Amino acid sequence: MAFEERNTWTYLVISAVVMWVFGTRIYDATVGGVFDGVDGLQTWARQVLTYIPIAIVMVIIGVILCNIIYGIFTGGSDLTMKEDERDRHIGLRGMRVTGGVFSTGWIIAVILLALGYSALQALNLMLFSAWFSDVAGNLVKIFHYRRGY
Amino acid sequence: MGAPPISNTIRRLRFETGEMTQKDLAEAVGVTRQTIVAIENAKYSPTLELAFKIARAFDKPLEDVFQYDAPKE
Repeated sequence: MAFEERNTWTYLVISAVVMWVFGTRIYDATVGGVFDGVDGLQTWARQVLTYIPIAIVMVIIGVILCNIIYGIFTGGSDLTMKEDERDRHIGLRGMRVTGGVFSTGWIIAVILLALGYSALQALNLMLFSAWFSDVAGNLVKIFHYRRGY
Repeated sequence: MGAPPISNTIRRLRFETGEMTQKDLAEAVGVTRQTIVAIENAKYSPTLELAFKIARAFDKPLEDVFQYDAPKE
């Protein structure tokens, strides 16, 4: 398995965990009224900014662990750790999907605002779109890797 | 995404060149083994630079390694 494909699988698993852990916290806080009031959006933003570096650290640790475990199971025989032109081509295809999905979510959030939904709901939708677009892009990359592109 | 219209003789050339492995060729041209597999199976078309590197690894002209199968109109 190519290095970038291994990383993509890792990103998918960790992003699912991150979304589950942090997404439920954001959701529970939203339902519980933590973000209501004058400083509600500021509180929301601070929580999100707290979760982002934690998620980044989780990804880094996950990638390192994944490659160590892969190296152990393969005996180091296929442990390449470089990105080549094919990885970049596949990455671009994934990024195209990521951009499209995120843009769609952003537009829907703006439409919701225009229809009278709250800023908090729009922001949560954008946050979900960011996560979902990342997942979609990674799934496209996995699809191309598995097809042998 | 359809198969690219470029075929190649890399597998045959590897066997003719001291039974070079895919890994050996990948290391010689600076890509991963999986990329060589994708190229051999005509699933991925290399860039011009990589195509030249592969041809040079076999000491063959580019046309002996890669063939363009023009799509029928």
